[in-house]
Amino acid sequence: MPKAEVPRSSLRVQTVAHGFTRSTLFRYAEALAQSLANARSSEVIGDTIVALGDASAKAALDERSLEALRSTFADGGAEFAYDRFGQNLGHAAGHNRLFQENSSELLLLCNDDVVTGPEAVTELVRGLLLRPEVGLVEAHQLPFEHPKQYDLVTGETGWCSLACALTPADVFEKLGGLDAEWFFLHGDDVDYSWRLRLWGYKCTYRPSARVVHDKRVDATGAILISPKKERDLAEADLLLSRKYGEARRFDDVIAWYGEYGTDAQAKAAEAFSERREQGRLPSPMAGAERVAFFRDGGYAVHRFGLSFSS
Amino acid sequence: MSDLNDRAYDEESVQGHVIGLLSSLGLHEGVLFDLGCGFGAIAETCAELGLDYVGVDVNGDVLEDLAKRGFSTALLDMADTAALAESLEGLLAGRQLAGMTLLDVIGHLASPNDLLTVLADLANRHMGVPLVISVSNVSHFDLAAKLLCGRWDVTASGLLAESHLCLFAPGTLETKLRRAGWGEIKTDDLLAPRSDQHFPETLPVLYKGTPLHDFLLGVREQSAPGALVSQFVRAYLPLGPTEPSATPLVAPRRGAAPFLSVVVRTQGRRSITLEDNLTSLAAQTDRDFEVVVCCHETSDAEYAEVEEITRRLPRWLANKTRAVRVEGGGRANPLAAGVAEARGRYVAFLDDDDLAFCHWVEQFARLAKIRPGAVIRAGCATHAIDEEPWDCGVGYRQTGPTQTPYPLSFDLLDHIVENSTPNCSVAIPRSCFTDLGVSFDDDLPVLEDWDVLLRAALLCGLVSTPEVTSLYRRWRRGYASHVEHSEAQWETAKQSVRGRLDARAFLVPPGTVSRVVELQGKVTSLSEEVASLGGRLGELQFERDELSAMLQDAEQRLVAAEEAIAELSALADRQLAQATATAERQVAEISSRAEQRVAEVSSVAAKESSLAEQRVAEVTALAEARLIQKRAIEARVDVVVAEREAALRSLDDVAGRAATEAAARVRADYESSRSWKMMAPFRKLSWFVPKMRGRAG
Repeated sequence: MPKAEVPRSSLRVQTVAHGFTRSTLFRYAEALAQSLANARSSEVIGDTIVALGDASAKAALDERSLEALRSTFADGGAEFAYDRFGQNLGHAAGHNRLFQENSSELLLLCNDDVVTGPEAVTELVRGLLLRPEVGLVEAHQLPFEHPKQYDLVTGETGWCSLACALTPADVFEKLGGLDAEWFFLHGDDVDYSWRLRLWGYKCTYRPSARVVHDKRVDATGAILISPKKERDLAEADLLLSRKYGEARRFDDVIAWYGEYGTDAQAKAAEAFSERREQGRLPSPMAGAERVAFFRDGGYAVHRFGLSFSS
Repeated sequence: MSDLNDRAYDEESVQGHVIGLLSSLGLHEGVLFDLGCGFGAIAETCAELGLDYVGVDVNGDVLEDLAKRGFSTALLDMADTAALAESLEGLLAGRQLAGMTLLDVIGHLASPNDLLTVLADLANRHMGVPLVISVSNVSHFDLAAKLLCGRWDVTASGLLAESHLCLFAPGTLETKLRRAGWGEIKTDDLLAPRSDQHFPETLPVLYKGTPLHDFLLGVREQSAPGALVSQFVRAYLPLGPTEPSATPLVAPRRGAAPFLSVVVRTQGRRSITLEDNLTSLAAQTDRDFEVVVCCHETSDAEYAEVEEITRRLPRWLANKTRAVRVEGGGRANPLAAGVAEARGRYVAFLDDDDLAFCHWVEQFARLAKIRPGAVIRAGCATHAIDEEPWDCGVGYRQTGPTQTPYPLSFDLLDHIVENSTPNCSVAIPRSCFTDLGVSFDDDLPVLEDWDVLLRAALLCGLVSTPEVTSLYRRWRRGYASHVEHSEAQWETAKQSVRGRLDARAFLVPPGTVSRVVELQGKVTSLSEEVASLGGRLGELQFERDELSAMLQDAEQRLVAAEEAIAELSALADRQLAQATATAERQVAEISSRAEQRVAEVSSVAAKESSLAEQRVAEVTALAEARLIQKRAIEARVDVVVAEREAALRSLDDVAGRAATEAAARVRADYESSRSWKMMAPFRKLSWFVPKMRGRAG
């Protein structure tokens, strides 16, 4: 099938990095630089800048490393900008801060533990620009896909992970960026997706844009996560329940976490019970019922089971 | 110079093999220099071939003997290479040189390279004549086996002659000759299953049938040729002055080879999964590897696409990746080709739809440090995928959860029964292929990886980790080996792998005894269980027979009961029919009476209905008349109201006019009287006028 062509667009890539090692950062950078170079040779992107937000508390990159990164991205035809936060602002706030300097048409959000495939950037741009109603395109993650259902023809899906996803910069701006008031590391992707859909845009999945997301599995095949991440995910789930769900669901989730959940989920439930008493919870979103979906711990219909292990 | 030359000519001797080579090279005229000729055991046979034999040796006694037999001789020292070439040229005296022999000579020289180089130069000056060499093989199995037992028995002559200064195995012979400018063209080595080192008589390792002998001989034969060769007998031609060899005389111990060579097998038809596969390699945390993409039976276009994919990888990986084309053969052939191309210390294998987790190489490297030389195995996950059309070609989607169905630890005995290790989860020392002769068997249509894994593990041992580092993806549709080959092919391959293992002696790893005892215990336990179940089966069979008899009795009773039921049913049917008929008659009578009464009642009702309708019509007419009267009265009321309003308006007008006129008269009277006393009655009248107007409004 011939590939439909899209106009060449300027691109800003944003990465918020925290707790990284030099080798993993260069692994990400070298793969991204090559993917950008391939996208440039495929004539789908023009001026490109890669903005790295360093959320490490201590300086993790010396001048030589920064120069090497600059050179790596230059090989891919991209400028490199470095913003040292000096503290862990979180995923949402970090991206919002980096975006303040934006002057590009497209915005690619990419984790530093992601290794982009050679054609990933090209395919994401095509996926976004071929259909004007699309507001967010998510890459296909390896070694295993997220199980959420998507339309086989259009790729339309309920929400997109922001581990590696492309969105028009004006849409990002119109939505006020990510919700950093309530979401720190997780859940901001579901929130952004649902707000975007409330504005009438589509979330899509682009299976041909493949990236490796450095995840490991345990002896049963369950995805390994740290206890902290498990708690973060539980808190994000509660925040989403509060912001997009019925009040009853929020109560049910807290009760379920408290009674049947793991230690991390129980702690999250305890913390949220306190927050509720103190009134430190987001207000329910108007029209949420039109976009929100909660089932079995997921935010879309799943094609197969997804399990985590901590 | 050598004892071997002292023996009489025999076709099955070294000399016989040398003559065979000379003859096969077509040497039938010209001078043959037999360098280090000893007693010249091949002299007469060379003469019979038509060659002008010249014996050259440093021992005058043996030359004297040759001369007496009518052959030319020359007393020369092979070690004096500076003078040798000139002397040999002088011996030719313008005659044509046909060839040279060095039979059991170079092993007695401290540095044979000088002599061989001089001879190569000489050969090049004389149309590139051949050189035939014989030399003892110190890699003969007898020597190797005895050395393992700590024996090194130097003898007066033979494989370990005390006069040997230089020792040769197949590799060293080729290397030395090539460095000196000679290229091998023919071989006719002398086999000796029992060499002169086949002693002492009681050493078990030397005797076929002992497990130690059979195992070691199996390893030796698999590792390199020449296990039972006592003498290499080989023919060479000079390579020519422009072909210096860079092969080092001393093999390098450690080179710049990467830790791992990743052999990726592809048919060039799944470019998307191949790209994913290579991207997963780009994500490795340990980069000490190279990639060899073996393109099996690919078209030019497919191969070009594979090359394009490798070019578009991150630069560091593209520089470590090379695509090679492999033609012919089955599934094993590209793997074998990949091994031949590999430079790494270990070799791992991926099919183009497999994926490596980011710590795949890292875990292999970690285990290689723990158990150097062993086969490495890590855990492997799997999930199902299905074809799906994408804009850029035939893609895929994951259709099932990621699972780990393969055992996370390795059990050799279990693996001999069934393969439960995907090829992508194993790394094998390259030396296992290059030095121990393990290879992928292209005769196997499938299970070629299982065959290699078992043979390698039996030789090298295996170290494993339960860490899951690779992903084997199963296609629900499209090409896959498990659907491409029939069950019969799989079964035949399985039997073949097991059969070949059964034909060899093997070492078993530590722990096997316990495992066998454990398995034997299980077998015993199962046997007892089977026996117990057999007894129980007997009891059950007895019970079954009893129950069968009861069942038969019950069935007979059932038949009788069914017959009785049938009779009763028939009786009941008849009685029912009679009762039904009676009831129907009664119903008919009652119905008839009821219809008659209904008719009567209907008639009366019709009459009353008619009267009622008539009365309704009358009342309706009256009501309509009253309605008309009512409307007339209402009309009349409207008229009266209108008239009243008109009268009121008229009265108002009259009153207004009267007041106006009265006021006018009063004003006129006032003006005429010009007296304030006259004003009182008129002030009263002015109060009256508005009151009259208000009423009219």
